[in-house]
Amino acid sequence: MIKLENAGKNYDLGAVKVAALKNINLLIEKGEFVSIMGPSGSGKSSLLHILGLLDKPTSGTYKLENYEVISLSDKELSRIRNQHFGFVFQSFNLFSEFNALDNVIMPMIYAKVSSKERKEKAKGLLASMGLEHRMYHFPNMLSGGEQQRVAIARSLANNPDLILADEPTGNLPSHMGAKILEILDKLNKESVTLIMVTHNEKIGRCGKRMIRLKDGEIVSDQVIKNRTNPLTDLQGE
Amino acid sequence: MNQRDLFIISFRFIRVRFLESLMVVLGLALGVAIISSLFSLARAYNYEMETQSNNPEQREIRVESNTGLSLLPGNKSPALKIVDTQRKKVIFTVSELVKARKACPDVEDGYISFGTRFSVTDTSALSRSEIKNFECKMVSPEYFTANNMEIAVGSIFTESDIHSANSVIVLDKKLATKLFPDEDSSIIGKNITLSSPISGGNLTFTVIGVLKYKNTGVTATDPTGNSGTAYCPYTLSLQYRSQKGLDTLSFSVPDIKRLKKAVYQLNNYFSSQYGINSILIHSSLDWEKDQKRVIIPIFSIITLFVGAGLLMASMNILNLMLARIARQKKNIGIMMAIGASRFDIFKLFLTESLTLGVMGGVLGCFIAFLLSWLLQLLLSPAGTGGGGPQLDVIRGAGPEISVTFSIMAVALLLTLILNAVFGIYPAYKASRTEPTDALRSE
Repeated sequence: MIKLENAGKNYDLGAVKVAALKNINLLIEKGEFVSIMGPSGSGKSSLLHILGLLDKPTSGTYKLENYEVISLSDKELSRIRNQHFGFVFQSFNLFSEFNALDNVIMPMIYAKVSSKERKEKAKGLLASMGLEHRMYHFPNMLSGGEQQRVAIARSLANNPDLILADEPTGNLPSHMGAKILEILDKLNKESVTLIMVTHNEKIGRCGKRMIRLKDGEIVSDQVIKNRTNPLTDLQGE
Repeated sequence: MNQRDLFIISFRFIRVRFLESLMVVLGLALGVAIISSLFSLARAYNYEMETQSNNPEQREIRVESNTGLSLLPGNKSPALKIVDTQRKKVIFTVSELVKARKACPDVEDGYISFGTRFSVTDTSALSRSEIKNFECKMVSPEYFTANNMEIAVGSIFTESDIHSANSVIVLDKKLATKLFPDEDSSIIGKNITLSSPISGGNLTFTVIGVLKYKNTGVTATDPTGNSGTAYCPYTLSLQYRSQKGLDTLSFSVPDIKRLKKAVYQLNNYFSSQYGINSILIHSSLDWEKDQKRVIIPIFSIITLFVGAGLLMASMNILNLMLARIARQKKNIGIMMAIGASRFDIFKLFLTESLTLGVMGGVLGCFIAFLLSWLLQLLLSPAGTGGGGPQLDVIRGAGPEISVTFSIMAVALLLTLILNAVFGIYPAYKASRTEPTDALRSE
């Protein structure tokens, strides 16, 4: 359970102070698929970073399973990110120095999973993404869709409870984007909580709940009645 | 993250940035190589100094009458020596040897020894000898015991030889072999006619003994070269002199470590007997001081340059590591997103820096071996001469210039410490990266 109360984020840019987020009140329960939408500069990524423990709010509170996040140490925060969260980024953010298999192995190294076990698991995850033939390929040898599937496999390495996706289809052609969304939807059905940032209305409607941001504030928070089906509605977009 | 994984990941980052890593490794390798070679050179010099100090001649202290004044104060070897005619010359007696020994607990033996050069005039008797002249020491019998010299054939002089100033001569093995290449025990009793400044003409000597061969080490300043030395009763010299006393007394210490104390004690004793500044005391300490006067500034300058070079290499590592971190910013953000703590990031970059350090160190050791081999070639005794006795000392120690494991360990440790010190700041800076900023960077 994620609970933000009056959370705000200010950036101090010397003479100017920018309020990226203002009075955010948000409750996300386990198993939800939340889409965060809004125009550029509305604070979507800032909110995602705070939710993903990559940043801390400058005001308000953030409770994660009743733990006050602000009081947690760097070691505790990194452990939560490693073992409970998974990240999927718009630009994939794979390590260019490592092949697909090693990229998936990396989070398990920080989780101190044994060498043999992590290799087996990484292979299984890549196979589940249809990349069994691309395991030893480096990111520059993979297509955008394949890279994003490697990134999703990596995010699943430590069986996370929550996946945070920042414009996961932003750099992909629509048919590949549809496939990625299909994978994410499938993960949500397997009870993984999903928070996805997007500026595309149709993609946003793949989620079960949509939160709209404008100038750092939540302007609407509603359940999506007519959800987009990635397989049928996004093909050819 | 365990150490093995840490090393594997850092090694991969090193491998990917090969050229950049190579520059760091080469910089460090040169530092290690130069430090190791310098240590080897210093070790060789110390070894040579030690060898010199084991030489009995180095344990000798000479007490002389002070008759000269220097032109320049502090200059030990003036170009022009001025004799102070007003100063009364000190004449020692033989009994002074015993008295001084009793007064100075660190002195072991006292003897008389002063040198001269003999020329071979009797060429018919020594037809096969190639020796034209050699050094002869005019000594008392105690000289042999003080310098641990043992007789091989015949005997040394007796008190009666000294008393009667008999024309007898003891040869060292080297000289005996050169003067009489074909003979051994039959040398004893043979006569040699020699010309010497002490008699002003020819003098016939009877060989009474040959000393055992003894390697006294390399004496850089030994003017006798390889011809060997002969020994005669000192009284022989005195009878040709106008002045019938001794102007030099010699003493020896059992251990070179006691030399300084013994010099101090002898100075006190003779100053109290004849007055301050009436006597001069010479020992290998003067030689050592001269050696150090030349060598220490040379080593200081080399050390200074090496230190500056190493510091520059370390600064280079600092800059390269900072640049690496700037380029790896995105990776730092990704690592943090997938679960790396700030301490994990710190460890990773410090490991990377230390891995480069170890690689540089190992390569440096290989280069050091090569450099020491080159130094050995350049400074070997077979090399060309020149450069004075100071360089001869190093040259004489040519075969000893080798990079030992202890030298490598010290150089490696020094480099690793420098590497760690200059690697800490970049690693710390990497660990302070904000993940959100890092993820936004390209």
